This record gives sequence, C-alpha cells and structure tokens, in this order.
Amino acid sequence: MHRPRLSILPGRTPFAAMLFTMLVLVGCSNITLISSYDETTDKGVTALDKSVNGLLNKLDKDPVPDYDVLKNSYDEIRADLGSLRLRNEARPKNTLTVKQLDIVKTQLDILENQHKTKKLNQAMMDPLRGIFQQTFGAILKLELEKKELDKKE
Amino acid sequence: MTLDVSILIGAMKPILDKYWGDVKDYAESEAAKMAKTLETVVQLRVAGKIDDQQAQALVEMQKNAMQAVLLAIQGIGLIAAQKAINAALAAVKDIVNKAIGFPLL
Repeated sequence: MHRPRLSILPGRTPFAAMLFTMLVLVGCSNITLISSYDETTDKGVTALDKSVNGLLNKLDKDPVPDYDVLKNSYDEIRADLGSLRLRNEARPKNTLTVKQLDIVKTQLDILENQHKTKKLNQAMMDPLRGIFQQTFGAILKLELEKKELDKKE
Repeated sequence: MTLDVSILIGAMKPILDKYWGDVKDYAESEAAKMAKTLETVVQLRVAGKIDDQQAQALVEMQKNAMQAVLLAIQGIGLIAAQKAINAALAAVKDIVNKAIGFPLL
C-alpha cells in the first residue's frame, strides 16, 4: 500500500508538508494551548462547592430563612470566589477556567436576588443543588484533566 | 530527507481517539443531568410549588451550568490537541534534528 510521504523540497508542498513546516516553525520546544493543573484551584473549587452546599442546606427550610440572617454567607462565598478568580486570571492560557468561575458568580447573583426578593422556597432546593453540583463538577473536570498534561505518553 | 506522514498521524491518532471517546461520555451524562433538572422544574411548576418567575430563574441557572460543561469540553479538546501536537513533534524530533544537523526540535 502506498504511504504518503512528505518532501522538504520547496517546490512541492502538499498539505501534509505545509503542516509539518508549520509544526517546525511553531517553535523548537513543545507547544502550550492551555494552563497546567493547579492544586490550589482544585482545593479552592472543592471548598467553594462545600460552602455553597452549606448555604443551600441552611436555606432548605419551610419557610426559607430571611435574607438578612444569611447575608454573611453570601459575602463569604463571594470573597472566596473572588480570590479564586484572581488567582486563575493571573495564570496564562486559563481563560476557560476564569469563564467557568464567572458562571458561578452569575448563578450566585441569581440565587441571592431570588432570596432578597423573597422568591426562594424550599421546593427549589433540590434543583439548585443539582445545578451547582453540575457547575462545580465541570470546573473540577477541566482542572483534573489538566493533570494529563504532566503525564508522559 | 523525506518524512513519512504516517509517523506524525500515528503519534496523534491514539491520543485524539481517547479524548473524543471521553468527551462523548461526559457530554452525554451531563446532558442527561440537565434533562432531569428541567423535568423537575416543569413538575414543580405544574404542581404549583413554584411560579413562572421561579421556574425561569432555575432554567437560567441550569443553562449557565451547561455552559460550564461546554467550557470543560472545550478545554478537554485543547488538552487533546496539545498532547497530540507535542507527540507528533516528539515522534519526528530525532529524524529532523539528524537531517538538519542541529537540535531544531
């Protein structure tokens, strides 16, 4: 069976030869498309997930406790989320994780607004748990996959 | 010097196959979770346990969660691409460096 071959002669440039040339020109060392694994982020996201679950457990009553009673919980979660975002924003090629953390902030804003405007009830807690679990799960999924970058093939 | 392109492809393919298989399983399981949450929201609304505004808030948050999942999938794709390209470079490194006479790769 005929196997395609590349030629480095400049006159003949099939697509594969151009790809090879690009690979060589890209750099002498390995390429990096995404940030590496960060243990602090891994632990931070896990801790944040625990804090949000703690808040949802406090909310899981009939009637839901007044917003003023739990305002500090929201503030603490925001502070931790802010620190985590700052750290991840400083890491190069880490846009995706930063966007995921922004999603957590958006969801927290919605939750807090529902609570402030007395539009939160106990029936909403199970779907809320599932939603936050999925979000935090996605952030951790990506972070843990980055560990693969350190593994030798 | 001629380079057999199958060396490059041979280095990249198993990495890409593995990741695309993993992504498919992950995407399907997360889509199932989203479907379950949406079903729950509808049931709560129909039972009158939440109103329209509350249902909309939950759906909005679920859409956001799915966005986070898609960002993870995008990241997994980048990881696969990075590993595949670097594997291809490693596979041809010795051939290229020997042909060119200095450690280009």
